[in-house]
Amino acid sequence: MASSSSSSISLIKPIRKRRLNSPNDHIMVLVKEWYNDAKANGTQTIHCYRKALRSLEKYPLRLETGSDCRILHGFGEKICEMIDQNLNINKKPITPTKTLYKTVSMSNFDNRQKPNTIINLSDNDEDKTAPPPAKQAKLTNETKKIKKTCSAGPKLFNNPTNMTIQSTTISTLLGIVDSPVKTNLSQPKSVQTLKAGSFHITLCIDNAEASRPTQKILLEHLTKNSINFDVRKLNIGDFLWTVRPNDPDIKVEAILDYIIERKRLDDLSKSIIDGRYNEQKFRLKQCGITNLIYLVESLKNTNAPGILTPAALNQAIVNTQVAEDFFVREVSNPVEMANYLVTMTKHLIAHFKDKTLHILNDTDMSNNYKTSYNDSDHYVMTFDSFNSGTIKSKPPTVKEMFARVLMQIAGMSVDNVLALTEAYPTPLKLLEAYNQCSNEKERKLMLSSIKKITSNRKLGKVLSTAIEMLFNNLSYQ
Amino acid sequence: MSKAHEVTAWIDLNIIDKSWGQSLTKEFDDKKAKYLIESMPVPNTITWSISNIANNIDEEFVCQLLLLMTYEQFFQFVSVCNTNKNNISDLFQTINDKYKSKKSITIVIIGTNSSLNLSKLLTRSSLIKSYDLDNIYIELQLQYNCIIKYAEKDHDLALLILSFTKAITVAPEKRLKNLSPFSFHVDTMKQYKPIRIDIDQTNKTLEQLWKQILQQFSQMGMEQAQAIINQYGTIQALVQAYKQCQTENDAKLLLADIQVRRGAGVLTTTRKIGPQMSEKIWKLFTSTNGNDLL
Repeated sequence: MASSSSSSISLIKPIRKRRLNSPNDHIMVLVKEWYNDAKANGTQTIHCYRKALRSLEKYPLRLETGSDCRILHGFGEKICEMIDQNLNINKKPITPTKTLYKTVSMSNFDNRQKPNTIINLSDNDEDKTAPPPAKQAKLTNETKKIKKTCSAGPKLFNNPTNMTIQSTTISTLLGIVDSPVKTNLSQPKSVQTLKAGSFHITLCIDNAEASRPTQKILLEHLTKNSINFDVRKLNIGDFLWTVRPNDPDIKVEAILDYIIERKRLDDLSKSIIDGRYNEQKFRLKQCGITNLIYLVESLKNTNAPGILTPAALNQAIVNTQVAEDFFVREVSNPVEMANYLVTMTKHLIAHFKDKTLHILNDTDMSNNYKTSYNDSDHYVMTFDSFNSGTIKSKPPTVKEMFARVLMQIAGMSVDNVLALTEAYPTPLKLLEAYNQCSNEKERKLMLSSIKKITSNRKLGKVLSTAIEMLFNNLSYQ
Repeated sequence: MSKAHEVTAWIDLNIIDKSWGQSLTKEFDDKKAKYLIESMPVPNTITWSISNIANNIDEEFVCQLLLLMTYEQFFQFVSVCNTNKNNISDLFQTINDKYKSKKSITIVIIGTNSSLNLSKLLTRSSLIKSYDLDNIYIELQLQYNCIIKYAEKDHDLALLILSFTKAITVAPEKRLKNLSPFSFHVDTMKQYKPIRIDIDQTNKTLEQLWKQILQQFSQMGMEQAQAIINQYGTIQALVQAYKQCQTENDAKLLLADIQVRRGAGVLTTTRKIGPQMSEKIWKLFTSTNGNDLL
């Protein structure tokens, strides 16, 4: 309970002591007004508003609505309603989901707040006070029972994507949709077509991999299972599959759209620390192959000093899967790894037996024509173009180029450029928006409140002005 | 500063009833991670929701989903796959249908900590053999991009879910780094330092910036950029000129014939900007569709 000293000096202090750039100015203004009214009328509500004001001043994070203020001490239902009314915010109906959220997860409030300023649970609950931690488990069980009879999160389950206009960039970024499959706009011309059954597939192993002493196991295993393989120097990757026509007169060699990078756990650890891991992932993403696979050989007893903790390594592996679209397969020893490669090779051979392969030239390949696993026609690149790294990315879109242009301005980081190009995908769109402004001042501030994507920061007046000058000045002198 | 996005784990009711789900709530509370216990559309699944205040996204489900099963259940599942070829696709289709969206599914096998130990759990009387397991792994990978994770006890499961929660939380920033405008032109990536515009004084910064902007086009060098800005000193000058063109074709070729001044003694075949470059620039400044290719 915040002790309230009621000397007249402290009455004035909270009002005058304004923090610069307070995040909750919009709410403070209201509460202050009510405080002043109460003061003028001599009503008892002055104490309520003073308490609320003090509480609000201490809170460093932004609260958008009155109902958000419920988490603060001194903000009860009435005052929050008043705030919402003034801010013209429509209250969302409180679904059972929301209640449960506040009940079960007791840990989503600011650590710094004292235990007594725990989230007010009384939205729909009978309980008016927060139970002390000891009772937490019990509360959970009780609520669990309640939950079993309600149907779950109606809002989210019945209407999974709430936004009417989904921006795919943002949805992909947040993980709401999987990386969108690129649709092929037109049929590319194939340099060569290998009809079903006219080619054979061979496992291709990188030099460095094959010469490892432990790789003897792999090579033996492959031979034992009658898997054809050859060893070459690969500029990127450790394993891939080459395709050659059965007809020895046709001199062309393609590769399947799969590549494996092998990593031992201690190697992974070192490469994360020195940054090679990120660089390698980047290079793999650029090489033109869609299906990127990390084969991680885990040694369960890694206790060598200087290595990342098992938890950190595991997190890195999960991150690679979730955030970076790699397929990660963990194996425990060289035999398991060999098994994996044998089975994979057998499956690929069986699968592509009845498929037609079209070999594309470099430019077409860089347009990223993708096929689905079960399609009868697949697009592949030649081994040489892969290994020589000549696969370039497709030409940029207007939006991407615009982003590139904006990045030449100091202060424009990737995420505020992205936010800006979401709002104005082309320079013309930006210019048109400028034309809609009624005066220069409005133009200069037009972009200042655009929020970055992964943080809540705004673009700001300076950058907004700078961009306005760039796009609207009739002379740069 | 408040986070722009927040992630909440949604855990199916049935999970916390099981012996291997007992410590979940406690471990989540200890780590102060957000979660909800709900009756999910598919039992024994876990997914996450994300909210992004900056873009007014209230709360949306992400595509990641964990499907939990004990190793016995998994063995049963594999054995059914041997007789019913559509078993996996039926399962995944059901999940997508119930969730009304396409999920990226990861199977979590409870009761063992690795694929190696899982295969050791096969007994002589099991309906499946270890090569059946090998085959299922590959099929799950090739057809569905489905990864298998393992959790021996409830503590391991809790850690696993927490690590996924963390991954989903940091994913947007990681994806940001991989996004264009970095991902194209990597091989011809010119090293330009961004230019700070001085908004108070008039000086050379805007002019330098305009020149540097033009040089972002591939095959646009310093001299070509200079030649263009000699004619069209500002973006406005160029845009106005495009507006005044009688036909679209005129606008496309507006810059084609601009002579590029080269140093004496340098022999080169192209001394003009050329029609292709001219068209690229025209496209950049007159397109209304961000997805047009340059």
